[in-house]
Amino acid sequence: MVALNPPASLSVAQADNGGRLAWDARLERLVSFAFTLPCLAVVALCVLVPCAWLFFLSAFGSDGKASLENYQRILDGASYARIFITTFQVGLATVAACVLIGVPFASFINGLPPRRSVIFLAAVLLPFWTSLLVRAYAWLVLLQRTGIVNSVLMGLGITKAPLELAFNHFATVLGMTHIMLPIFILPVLGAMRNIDSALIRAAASMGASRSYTYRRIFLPLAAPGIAAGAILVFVMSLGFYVTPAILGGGNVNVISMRIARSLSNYSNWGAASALGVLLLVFTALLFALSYGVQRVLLSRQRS
Amino acid sequence: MRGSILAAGILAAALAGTASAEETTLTLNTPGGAVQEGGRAVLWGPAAKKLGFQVKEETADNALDVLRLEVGSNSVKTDIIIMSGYQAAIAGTEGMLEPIDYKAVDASGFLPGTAAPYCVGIYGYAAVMAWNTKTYAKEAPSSWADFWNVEKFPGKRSMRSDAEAQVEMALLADGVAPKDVYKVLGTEDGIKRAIAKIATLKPNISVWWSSGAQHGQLMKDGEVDMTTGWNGRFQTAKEAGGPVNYTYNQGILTYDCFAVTKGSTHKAEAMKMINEMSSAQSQAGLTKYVSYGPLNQGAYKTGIISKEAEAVLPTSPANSGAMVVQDIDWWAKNNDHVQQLFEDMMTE
Amino acid sequence: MSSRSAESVRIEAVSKMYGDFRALDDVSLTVEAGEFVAILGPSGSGKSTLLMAVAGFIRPDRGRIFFGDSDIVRLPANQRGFGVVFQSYALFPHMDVMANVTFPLQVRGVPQDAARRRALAALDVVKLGGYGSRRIGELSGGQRQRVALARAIVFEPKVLLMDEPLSALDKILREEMQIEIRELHNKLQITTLYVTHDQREALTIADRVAVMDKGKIVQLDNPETIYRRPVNEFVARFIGEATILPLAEARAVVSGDLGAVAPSAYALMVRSEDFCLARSGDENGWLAVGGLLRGVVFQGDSWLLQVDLADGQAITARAQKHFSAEVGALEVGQTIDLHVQRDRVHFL
Repeated sequence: MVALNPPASLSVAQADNGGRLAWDARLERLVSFAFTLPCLAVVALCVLVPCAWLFFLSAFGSDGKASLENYQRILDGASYARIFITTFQVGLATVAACVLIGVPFASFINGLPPRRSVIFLAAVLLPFWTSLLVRAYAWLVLLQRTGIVNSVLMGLGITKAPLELAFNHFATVLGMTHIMLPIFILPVLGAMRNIDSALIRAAASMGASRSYTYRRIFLPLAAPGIAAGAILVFVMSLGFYVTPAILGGGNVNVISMRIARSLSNYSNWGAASALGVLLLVFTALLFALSYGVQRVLLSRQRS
Repeated sequence: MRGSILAAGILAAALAGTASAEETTLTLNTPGGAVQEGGRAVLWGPAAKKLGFQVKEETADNALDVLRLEVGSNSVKTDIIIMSGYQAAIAGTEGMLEPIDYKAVDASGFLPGTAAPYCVGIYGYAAVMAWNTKTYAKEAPSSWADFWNVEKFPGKRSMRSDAEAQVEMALLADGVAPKDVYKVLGTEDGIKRAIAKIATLKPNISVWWSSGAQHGQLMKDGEVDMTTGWNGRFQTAKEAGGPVNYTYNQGILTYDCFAVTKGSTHKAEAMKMINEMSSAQSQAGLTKYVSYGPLNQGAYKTGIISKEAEAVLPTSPANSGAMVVQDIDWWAKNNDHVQQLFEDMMTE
Repeated sequence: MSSRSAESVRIEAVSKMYGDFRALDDVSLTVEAGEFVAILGPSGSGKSTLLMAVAGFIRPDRGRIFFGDSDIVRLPANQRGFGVVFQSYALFPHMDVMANVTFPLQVRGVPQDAARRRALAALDVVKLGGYGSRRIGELSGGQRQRVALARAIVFEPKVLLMDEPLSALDKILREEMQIEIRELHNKLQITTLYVTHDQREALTIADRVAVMDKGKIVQLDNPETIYRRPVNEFVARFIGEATILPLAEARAVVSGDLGAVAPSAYALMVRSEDFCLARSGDENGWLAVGGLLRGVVFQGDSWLLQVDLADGQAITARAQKHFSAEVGALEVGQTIDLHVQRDRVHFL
């Protein structure tokens, strides 16, 4: 027995010391965790509680008894599926427009010397500080039948009758793209700024033309940023209310409008909550999916 | 849902519980704005003075929510509540309102259909047809049939993004007599017929409006050539010199009303108050504050309302005869179903 | 990797300003066909700017750059066909090793099979056979450097430009790679321009070394001449350890015959390792300088002796390992005589 034990003094000293060090480490973790508590409390109060409340409300019928009638209604009504599809269509179209406009624009800004890039970036970000409502009505002033665009086109004799530019998907996506573009461009530009300029030079030194380098080197390296921006835009687009309500003119029916109608017209919290829950679930699924995609993209770059 | 109502109700009860006084204090819930201001001046102000009551005013955006909260948690503090006739019908069927005691309330002079089992009308307004006077300078449309007639009256239309009043208009356009509208809507086929009629006009509807401000603006801007909407907005646009006119012919008349909360401790006093506030004098006086029409037809004989004012009010004897009074009971029963069908049609 | 006909690179009077900063000041330099020239200088001396101008990434303000007989100063980088190795390696992180190395071949439209074959050969040359499918992130610094090298030579460029390619590696790996690059050059005979701030590396690796200071080439010579016969104090101090004494002072503190001194000379220079603690062989042809020993520092392969001269100037001498007995006998604070052979003294 004795022989199996290491010298007593040594082992006790080691054990003592080790325990104390482990305790110190645990204390350190506890203290740093304590600093996050206020933040966690705010998150719980502002995010988790309302979400739980939403789930809770959605599980009660109009008679106040627990039931799945709110979900049943969504399954039964033909309009709900169409509203979901419209919401996703508008979101995807906005993402597509942001990618088509934002990627070349971010590339352009990225290539400018710092001082001039600030000016162009400011031009993109400036509308960020005007209200959604103002921007939607500004587009209406431009696009409606008697609006500026139609007046100019007809004044110049380019078109005879006014074009139907407002109150449709086109106007909605246009207005949303205008709002989402800065949100898209920032992460994309961030990714582009992180691309080592030596890589571009290296490609050139190997004989690659500008466009070949852009396609094979620059864009693939900016892809995680583009993906992040696209996901951000898409998820935010799903919750848009003001812009489709004003520029869609009732012809573009998205989930948020249906939720608002359930609440303001019929005070039906259960129905509205069920829609909210479904939107949340779809968004979460998309997030999970895109997170996977992004991880694959990133892992392809950094082992 | 019930849990929250209970919790909030207990809180409300604790706050309000001490209000029993030697003299009767009635709590009156209003939507605020001009209605509250005018009501204080000519409705409950004078009535309370006359009856020796005190009135405590509250305001709420959504009267139904107030009732659900108070009645649901068994802590009623509101005695009289102003709500739309449609809301009152729903609240009545949900058991949240006291039936009106028409022995205490004299509604004999009211337009038929505007003094309902659970509420007494205060003022009426109409969903009507308006058009651009420039677009239709030669001949103005005059009926819902004209609204649907895109060959004779070509141009962009706008309808409400909600079935309310629109299905009635559709049936009138389809040749249903005004008195038969709710008879036809009483059957599933009738409802489908109305929705289908709207669907035929859909290609010509460029905007589905969702607020009074919006349809007023659409007409003022000339964005659409013809729209459904509320008479007050079009009157305002017309007076402002916009190229807008409207007709009460085949308009859908509806109203806001006084109702008494189920379980009110001042039920009898509330009925007395409502009776006072429903007098011809009171209702006539309110026209000075809001552009809605009195429902007590006696109001037009008090001499308070000028001939010019009478001509544009929806409830005047000259105008109301051409309209359909909305059946709020039908709406209370069929709303969810009709809205669902309407939405299916709209999003198709 | 067959040898090829090399071409020379000739830089003629190239200047480049950045604002008020003169990055390149009328620089001329010829790298003969197949020659290996290192450009050596402190940071900000213009060495990288010069390399980037040759590569085509920086447009000079004036001057010409010839490749063989053709002036390429206006030719875009991607049409010059030079292999470039960057300080940061500049490997494409989203491609594997094979894709990186075949990239220049794909650009040139080389069929995939042939490109693969050539890439494998290039990887063999840099001793990375079998690493083709590795991700860049999985490689060590030294391996990345080799991939960068393979990628720069795989398309058989006639000129290889390297911008501090080894500066991110640790000392042992760096010295290994210096030898390998040297061997690679011997094998391929590509005209090479190599930028470094490490004087030892420049001396080790190059046929000739161009020392740059303030945008100018101050000396262009073979490594030994650069070391032994620096043209000025800057080169003397930048390369190796040197004691520099102004002539007037030297005459006062140095005992022995300095011999014939050019009239233009103003100082003498002695490399620290040329000082000896005792004379050996022929007693003649030696000079000596006396001083006070301030300190002895052991540095592994040698000792550093810090000596204060009679006039207060501090100099350093380096005693090789085999002097351990002599160094061991020394005591800090004692007077000491440092000896140097006459032909080891260089006049500036």
